[in-house]
Amino acid sequence: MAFHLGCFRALHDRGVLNKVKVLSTVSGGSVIGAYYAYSDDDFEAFDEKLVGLLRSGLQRRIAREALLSPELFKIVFTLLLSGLPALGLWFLGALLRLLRVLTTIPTHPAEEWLAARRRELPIWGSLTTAFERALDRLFGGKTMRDGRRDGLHVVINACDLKTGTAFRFGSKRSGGWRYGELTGAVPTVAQAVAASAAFPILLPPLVETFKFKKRDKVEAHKVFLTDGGVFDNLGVAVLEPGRDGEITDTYPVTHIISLNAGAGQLDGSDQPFWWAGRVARSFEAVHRKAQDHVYGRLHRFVETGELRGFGMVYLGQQDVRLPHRPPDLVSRDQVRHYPTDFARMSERDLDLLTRRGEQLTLIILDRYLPYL
Amino acid sequence: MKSDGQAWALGQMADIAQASAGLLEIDEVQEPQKEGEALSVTISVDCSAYERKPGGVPLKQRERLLLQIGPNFPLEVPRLSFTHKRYGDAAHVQWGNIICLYQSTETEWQPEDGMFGLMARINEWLRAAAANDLDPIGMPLHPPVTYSTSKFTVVPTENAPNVPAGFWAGYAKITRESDHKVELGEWFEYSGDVPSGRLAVALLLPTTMPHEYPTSMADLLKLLEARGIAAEIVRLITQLGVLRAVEGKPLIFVLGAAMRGIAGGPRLQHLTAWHLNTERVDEIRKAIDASTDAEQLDVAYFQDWAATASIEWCRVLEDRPEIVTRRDVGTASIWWRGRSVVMFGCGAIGSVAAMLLARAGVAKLTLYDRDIVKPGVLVRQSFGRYQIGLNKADAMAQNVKNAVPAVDVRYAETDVVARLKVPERLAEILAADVIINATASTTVAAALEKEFRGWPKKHPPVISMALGHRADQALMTMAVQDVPGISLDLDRRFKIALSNVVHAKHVVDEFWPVSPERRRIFQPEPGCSSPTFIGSAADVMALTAQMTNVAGEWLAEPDRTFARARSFDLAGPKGGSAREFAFDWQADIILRDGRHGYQVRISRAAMSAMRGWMRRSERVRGRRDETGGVLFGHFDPFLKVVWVDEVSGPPPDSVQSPTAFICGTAGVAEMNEEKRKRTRDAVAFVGMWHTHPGGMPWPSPTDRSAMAELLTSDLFKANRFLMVIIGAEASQPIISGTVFERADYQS
Repeated sequence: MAFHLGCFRALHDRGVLNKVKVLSTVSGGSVIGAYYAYSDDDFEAFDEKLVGLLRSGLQRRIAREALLSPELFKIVFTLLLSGLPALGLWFLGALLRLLRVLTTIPTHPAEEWLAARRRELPIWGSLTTAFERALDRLFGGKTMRDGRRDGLHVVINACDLKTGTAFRFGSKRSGGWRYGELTGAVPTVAQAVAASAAFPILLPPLVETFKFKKRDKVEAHKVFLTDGGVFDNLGVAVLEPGRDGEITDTYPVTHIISLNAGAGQLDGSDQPFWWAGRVARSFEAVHRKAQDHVYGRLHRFVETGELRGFGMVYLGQQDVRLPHRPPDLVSRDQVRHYPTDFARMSERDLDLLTRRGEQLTLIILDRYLPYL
Repeated sequence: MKSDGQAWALGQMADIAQASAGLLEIDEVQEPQKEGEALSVTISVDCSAYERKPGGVPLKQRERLLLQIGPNFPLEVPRLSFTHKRYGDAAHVQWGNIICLYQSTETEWQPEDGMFGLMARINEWLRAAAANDLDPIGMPLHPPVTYSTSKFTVVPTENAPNVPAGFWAGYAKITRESDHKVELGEWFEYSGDVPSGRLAVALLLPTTMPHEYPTSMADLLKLLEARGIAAEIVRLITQLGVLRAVEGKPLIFVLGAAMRGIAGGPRLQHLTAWHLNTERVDEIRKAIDASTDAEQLDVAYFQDWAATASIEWCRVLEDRPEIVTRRDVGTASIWWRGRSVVMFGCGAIGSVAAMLLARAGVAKLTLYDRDIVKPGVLVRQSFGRYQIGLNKADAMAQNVKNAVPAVDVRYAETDVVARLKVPERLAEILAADVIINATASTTVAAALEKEFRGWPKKHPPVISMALGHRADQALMTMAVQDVPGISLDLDRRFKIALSNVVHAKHVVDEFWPVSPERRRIFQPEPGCSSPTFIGSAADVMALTAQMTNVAGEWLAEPDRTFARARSFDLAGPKGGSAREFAFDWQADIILRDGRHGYQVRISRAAMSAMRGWMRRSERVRGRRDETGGVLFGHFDPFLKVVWVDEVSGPPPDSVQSPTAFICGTAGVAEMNEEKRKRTRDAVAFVGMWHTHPGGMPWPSPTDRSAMAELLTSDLFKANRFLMVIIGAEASQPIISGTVFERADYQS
């Protein structure tokens, strides 16, 4: 968020921020994106409030919601009445599987019955719902369709783990191609941001049951929403040229500026041998590769003239590949290990991250989008 | 003796007859007696089901039709006719019984459909004929037919006059004439002022004529009589023409009938013409001369002649705007029609573009070139070998005049640079709708830049076109009066803009090369000849045609507040990365330097960046501290123009306070190097900018003493320095630009 704040400062100073028509956000970027879009404050006030939020962090707010609100009971009930039985059912299923392998006794039907029971177990609360409550206080209970700054279109990108498809909360419409468009109650900004920022390795998915309308048919479906970065780490899919608006959300734009707080290339010092390390690193590798492909595609759109301009402001940018390096450039090495857990931020980290965001944005604007 | 095609047709006919359950019957087949003859098939068609409407052809219950199938069927279309002449007066029936089935057999006839296609068409024709629907509303009327018996051609070029009830009689001016053709211009009623010179006589009717015109004068007079035109009127008009005819020249008699246009719309004149040869004209003239009141020999002569004369119908090729739709309608060329164009340079681009513009219908074309046609240029320039040694502008003017005589083409065998210096000549140039600079001359570009350096400026759009050294790439720019700069300025902007696009390197390498190999010039003749480029007529024409089209599109845009540039590419692979690039620019911020008269052109990007740095300073340091940075661009001491294209914010070692901004130097050299390298020296250090928050943007004593110190120091190598000061605040800045020169401080 601090890096993004720096980028926003540069875009504001250059008079570009108020020209933005669509704000498409993913993961941690959804917090600052929604905070900016759903606020009427002038930039200075927004800046000040966000700096306050970064200094205090979101962790304490989440903890407060998890421990000092009715959410605690929901989480406890979920753990006791759903988590433990689920573990038991899983354990029984595993035993039956082992038995089948060793004795060739056909235990399939029993295994499937156990799995079906596990799926039926209710989920009342989790750390993500506590996160959602904390965010709801931050956004004042606003819904996705409530008034936005300068009539901005907002798209908050999440991913439905159940169907493995994109799920987008939008100021125009919400939903995904699999189940259709959300109908009935408009989702809150907090719901959207919590889903979009629920990084799967740290937070469980946000489980919601929504009513969807597809081909004039209304049906209710349960979705398991997680970080949109799993699907589209840059959140630019809705902005890419050539998408069929009949099937999915699309916002034709002339220029795209991508603000990416990813840390960039791995330094190769880790030894991802054990399970947790290798799974996390595999996830990261796939994630980075998908992101590279999207960048490649966006550059290609500019080359073929389908986009008039594309600026990539990337925290993990290799400094040597910048068009030029100002003498006071905050280097990648100074910031690449910054914390991404919504913890309170030190003055030093805050200063370095915002300055790098601002510096990189100005360099990219000067070089690639000077007439914007 | 049937050919394979005829046998195939007969087989198909049998299949159709069998499947038709009596709707179509084959009555008689007459096979060709020898090779090359047509196969004749008489068929009977049941017409009872066709709906009859008033005005339609009154078909019988069954109609007998004769099909003549040629030996090359299906590569030739069978001829279809009624077996009688009862419907001879109907539209689309010619020579009394021949059915005109297709408007254009070249596009409508499909050989692979064979007789099935033909039968479907016959069915459709009979249905439409019965329903009086052969010329459906909104479709062009089928014109009547005259079978030309003379090889003489008449080309009407002006819309025919409105014809009152009764008839219109008068003249059409002959504007061009040769042994085989006349072109007709303006129309003059006989009772009004009639110009001298060659004239054709004309009789225009408000009524129709039969769809097939007679071949004898006697039959024609009968038809006219039936339409209220006495033979006496035809005689008088003919005699008027003869009396005005020039000795030894034929007389052209134009006959019009209201039979053209779109069904349902107003009827326009269908023109036919006959030709009276010089002998006949002389005889009529003699008869008139010999006539007296007592003995009207001329009347007797006309009657005798008309009783037996056959009519020599001319071929009429329409060129009237009311009849002919221009074939370039809806294309980018349409903007040029009726415009006045000045063209500098009649070389590779100019000689092609001039002809394209003439064909597009420019009203006036003024050509300038000081060079002559040399044998070598014929490879790619549109001149004839007979024009070697002629001035290019002169030769091109001839070519244009020959191709499109309507163009008011003028030329000047002169140096453009000198021409711009003569006020009267300059006024002529500025009166054009557009100026095209196809000289590729840096001197002409600099002269134009100098001429239109003032601000605000007033001139028509200036299009500059240039080809690459192998004529496989081209550049075009359009300068407009709302944006400063002409071709030199726009070339510079284009170069900078392309330098910022990674995949545009091939264009920058082509037009602003740095490699010694590429910089070597091509001189077609050893010695001190003009350097030029390599390229074929095909390449030059392809690129010039593309540029002319794009220029037409640019000029057609109603909003001319953008200067434009575009590159063209013939050589690169199609698909994949874009090989061609287009940019546009709005007006810069223009400042006038009061010390040395420089014009300071600050790009919008640079201005936006300075305001951004001001906003940042206000946000971070408050509204009182001064801020500033470095300016990058280019000085042109000849034109007295300084461009500011890019700026930096305050270098990190700068000192900012409410009373001063001392610009640091940390990183400035690296920044300068990066910009020079990227833009191939188009953009480099030119000076510095700083703010006077809340104050006026005039150089303070501190600013002046800093300049004196800088320009008297050996550490600063340049001879001039631009100081831009921004007063007031970022939201409503007031700006000044001052150029300080080293010479100012030398005693």
